[in-house]
Amino acid sequence: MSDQLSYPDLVLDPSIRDWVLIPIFVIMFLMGILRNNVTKMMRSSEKTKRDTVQQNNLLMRARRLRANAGWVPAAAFAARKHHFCDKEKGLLMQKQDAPNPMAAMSDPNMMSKMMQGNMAMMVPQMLMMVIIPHFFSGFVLGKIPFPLTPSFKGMLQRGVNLSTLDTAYITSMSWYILAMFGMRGLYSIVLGAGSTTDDSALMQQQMGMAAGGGQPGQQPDYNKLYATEAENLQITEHKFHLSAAEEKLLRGGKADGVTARGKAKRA
Amino acid sequence: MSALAEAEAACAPYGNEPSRCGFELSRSLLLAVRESRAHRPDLVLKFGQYLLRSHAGRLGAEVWAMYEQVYIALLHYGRRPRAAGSGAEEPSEEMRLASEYYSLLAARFPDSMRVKRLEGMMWEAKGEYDMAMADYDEILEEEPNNLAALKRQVALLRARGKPAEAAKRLAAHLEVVGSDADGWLQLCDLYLSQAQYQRAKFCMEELLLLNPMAYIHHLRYAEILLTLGGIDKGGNADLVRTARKYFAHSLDLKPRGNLRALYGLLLCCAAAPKGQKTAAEVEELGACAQKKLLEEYGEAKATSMLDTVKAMSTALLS
Repeated sequence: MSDQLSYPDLVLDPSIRDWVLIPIFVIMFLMGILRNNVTKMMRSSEKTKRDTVQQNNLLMRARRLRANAGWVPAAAFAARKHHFCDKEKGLLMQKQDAPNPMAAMSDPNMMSKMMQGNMAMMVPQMLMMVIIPHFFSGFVLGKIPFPLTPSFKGMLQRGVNLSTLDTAYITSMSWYILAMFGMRGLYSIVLGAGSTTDDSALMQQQMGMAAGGGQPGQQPDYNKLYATEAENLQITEHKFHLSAAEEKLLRGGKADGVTARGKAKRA
Repeated sequence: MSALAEAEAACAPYGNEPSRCGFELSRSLLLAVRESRAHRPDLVLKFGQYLLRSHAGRLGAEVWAMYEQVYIALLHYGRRPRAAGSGAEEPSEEMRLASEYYSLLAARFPDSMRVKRLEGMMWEAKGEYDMAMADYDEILEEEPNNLAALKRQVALLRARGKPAEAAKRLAAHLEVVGSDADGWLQLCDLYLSQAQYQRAKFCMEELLLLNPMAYIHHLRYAEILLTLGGIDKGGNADLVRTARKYFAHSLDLKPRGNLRALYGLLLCCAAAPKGQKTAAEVEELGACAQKKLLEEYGEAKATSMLDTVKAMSTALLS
């Protein structure tokens, strides 16, 4: 009871809604769109390296040979197997340049590209971090409909340090952060899927990098891939699918059945 | 029904007259042509010129794609063989308009490789093959992976009667991009035109590996095998037997209307060595092919052909 008395409902001025809640939302939204367009403009068309294309295609071709081996005669398969897996000259046996993890770092092109991408993300973020507290700090904007423990104060009541304020009240700074991370769905509707404003994806990417889970854009080790593929190809047995093609055509083959039935119907 | 066929059907009630079809219909028709990559310079020229003349403003950003599309159609109509164009006569109306469009595109996209390729095609249409070749070379130097330029070069080399050079370039490209089915098909065709059957056979095998469900690949492969194992090459019973299997399988994949495979099967049976223990099987297969062949002609009501085919197939099998 005494709790209830000590925290009477706050009456919020409607102009707080009109001049703080809605403007923050609108500013965030427009900033997101602007950022999206800037990133789009800065993104240079990436040229795929010829080597990478060749390596990937070679792997694909080997895989294809393995999957569809039965459709070519045994000699053709053997020739290709030799072509891929020969100890000395086999395409899959050639030594590939081992990817150097530092190569991406030392490549100035790569560096500046990464910088550009990060700048497009960071500059608006920093700008907003200055603007929003400057203009909109110190407001209580609303109340969430359920009680919370005081430990949420830091999260929900940023910018207003009142120890007596109920934790359920949200301040403008918290609203800003909420809007920043909560607008992903809206962006994907307005800007179309795959827009670059996805903060959470960026965060995830950075987390992944820190954990050493493979850098984005780092090339895989083709030596290993080739060796695996060569091994798979070696153990592939050739089973000619067409060895019974004529029997199938002559006896009980689909082709024969259809014609015979068609004939019977017409007769 | 494809999008192109639908769009054409929509235009038919207006007598295929662009001005009566209006903006929306014309635009969707050309879009369908572009997306299906159909070769319809007649449609493109008629509807595209109407759109560019009367509605260029309404097209928005699409106008550039339209210029490109109409430009290529214009080149198709404006081109002339080299011998005729000795430089003295006036350029045709189409070529004049095409160069106008080209300058528009070049002004809008000065560094574009795509526009550069269009310039190359202009040289081709004018019969200046060396200039075209130089253009494509420049593109490839800038972007080694520019497939369009590479394929134009191959086509150009072929047209100039240099199949060896064309095949060399195409093979180098396929070494990098092994999944390009059109490339393999083209290379196979190149080798066939030079009677290099072993190499054509290799290309066809690649196509079989790429898409083992296509009856036409099986059929073509069988034909190459049959040619290789034919009498004039000394005769190779193994190859003929393998060819027979591929013909049979092609028939299995496409049982109706596959006359090419039926004839192939007949030829295989005729080429099989006589007097062996497999003779009965060959005979049965031949009879089956003959029966099916006659059925096909009977169903097509081609009675005049029926006797000829019957006599011919009997003569082959006997």
